[in-house]
Amino acid sequence: MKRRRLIYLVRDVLDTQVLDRKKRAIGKVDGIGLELRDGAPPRVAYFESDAVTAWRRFGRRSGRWAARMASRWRGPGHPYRFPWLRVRELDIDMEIDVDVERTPAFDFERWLREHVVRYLPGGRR
Amino acid sequence: MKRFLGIALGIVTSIGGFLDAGSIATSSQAGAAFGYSLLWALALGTVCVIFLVEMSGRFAIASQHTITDAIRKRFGFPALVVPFALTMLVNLLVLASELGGVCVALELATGIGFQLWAIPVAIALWLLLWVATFDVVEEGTALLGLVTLCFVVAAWKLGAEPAELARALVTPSLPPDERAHYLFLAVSIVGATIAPYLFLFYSSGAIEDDWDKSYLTPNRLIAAGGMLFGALISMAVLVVAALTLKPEGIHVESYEQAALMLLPAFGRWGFWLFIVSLAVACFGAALELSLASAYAMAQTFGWNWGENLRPRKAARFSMAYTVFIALAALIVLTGLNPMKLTLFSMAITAVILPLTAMPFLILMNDRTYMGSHVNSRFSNIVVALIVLVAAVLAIVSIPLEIIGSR
Repeated sequence: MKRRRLIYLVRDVLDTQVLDRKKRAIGKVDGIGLELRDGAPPRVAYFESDAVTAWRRFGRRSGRWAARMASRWRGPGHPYRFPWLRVRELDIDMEIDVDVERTPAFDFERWLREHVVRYLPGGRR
Repeated sequence: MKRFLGIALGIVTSIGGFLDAGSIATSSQAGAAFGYSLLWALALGTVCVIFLVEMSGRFAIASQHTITDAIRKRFGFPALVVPFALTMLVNLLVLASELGGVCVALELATGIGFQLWAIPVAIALWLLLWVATFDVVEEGTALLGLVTLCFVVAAWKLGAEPAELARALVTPSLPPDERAHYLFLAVSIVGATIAPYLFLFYSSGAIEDDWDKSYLTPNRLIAAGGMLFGALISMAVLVVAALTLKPEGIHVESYEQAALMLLPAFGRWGFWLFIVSLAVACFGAALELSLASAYAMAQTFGWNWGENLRPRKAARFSMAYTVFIALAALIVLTGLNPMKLTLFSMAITAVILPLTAMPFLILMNDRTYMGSHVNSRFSNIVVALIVLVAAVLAIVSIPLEIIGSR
C-alpha cells in the first residue's frame, strides 16, 4: 500500500460493479453488512450482491415482490455474500478473487443458459 | 490512414442511428403541413445531439464506463429504477415504431398487410443480433443506410432554395393557425433527433470497440460529422415533403402518403426508393435500439454484457433483447397506425429526455470519472437548456395534440 486512501462505503462501494478475477461481471454491491461487536468498534462483515437486497432498498413492496419471485427459481447460497478478504481491487469497479461461474450470483444466468439459450439456434456455441 | 477510415466509418455509421422511423415520420409530416418553417426544431435538436453524443464518447473514453453503469453507481440503484423503467418503456414504443416502419415498407412493396409482417421482421431482427458481432451490426446498417441519401438528391433535383433553407434553420416562427399541432411536431422532431438510445448506444459502442485516449479527437469528429450527416438527410426529407406534398395539400397521416414524396424527383423509381429507405432506416434503428435497451438493462443490474459475446456467454443480456423484440412485435400486431405511434413515441421521448440527460450532465462534471476531461460550462448550458425547453414544450403540447386530433 503506497498511501492511505479513505473510502466511503455508500459513495464508493454501494452499487459498484463487481467483477470476478477474469473481469467478468458478477453483479453490483447491493448491500453492506456491518458486524457490531461487544467492546470493539463495528466492522464490515461482508458485501452482498443480490437482486432481492437491491429491490428492498428501492421499496418495501418491490422487496417483497422480488423475494417471492426469487424463491421460485433460485437455489441455496443466497444472498451471495463475500468478505473484504476477497476484494482484490477497488477502483471504479470492485474486483474480487472468485470465479463467477461458481457463485450463486450466476444462478439466473446459468438457468437461462441451460433452459432457454441452449434450445435456440446457435445457443450451444 | 486507418484512423481516417475509422472516422469516415464512424460518420457513416451515425446515419444508422440518426435516420429512423422517427425522423422520417416527423420530417415528412412537418414538411407537408408547414413547409420549411419547422427546420429550426431540427437544427436545435441536432446541436443538442452533437453535444450529447460527443459527451457520451468522451465519457466512455475518460472513465472506461458506460453512462448507465456510472449513473447507477453515482446516484444509487433506487434512484435509477424509475428513470430506467420509463426509458425502457419509451424504448419499447420506439422499437415498435421502427418495426412498424419496416412492416409498412413491406406492405407497400407487397400489398400484404403490415401486421402480418410483424413476426417475420421481428425474427429476422432477432436472428441477426443473435449471431452477428457488434461490428457487423454497426457497419452493415451504415452501408445500407447510404440509400437514404436519395432524399438529399431529390431535394437538390427539386431545386430547394439554399437561402430560404438557411433562414428557416435559424429563425423559429409560430404560424397563425394550427399552433398546437405545430408545437407538437416541433417537440416530436426534437425527440426524434435527440433519442436517448442514441447516446446510450454510442457510449456502449465505444466500450465494445475499446476506445482509448487516442480516440478523443476522432470522437469529436465522428459526433459532429455523423450527426450533421444524419441531420442533413432528415432535413432533406422535410424539404422534399415541403416541395412535393405541401403544394398538393397532402397531409401526411400515414407512410402510404409520405411514400409519394419522391415521385416528382425520380418518377416511378421514387416509390421504390422511399420503400427501401424506410425499411433500411427503420431496420437499422431497430437493431441499435434493441441492443441499446439490452445494454441499459445489463448495466442497470450489473450483468455481463456484450454483442461480441456468444449468447451462451451473456445469456441474460441476449434474453433481454429477445424479450424486448417480442414485446415490440406484439405492439405492431395490435394494428395501431405505425406513423401515429411513431409521432407519439417521439414526443414522449422529449418528455423523458431530462431523466437521462440531466444525471448524465452531472457525471460529465465529476472528476472521479472524467479526470481532466470534464465538460466546459458552455456545453453544460447548451444541453441543459435545450433538453429542459423540449421537455416543457412536450408536456404542454402532448395533451393539446390528443384533444386536437379527436
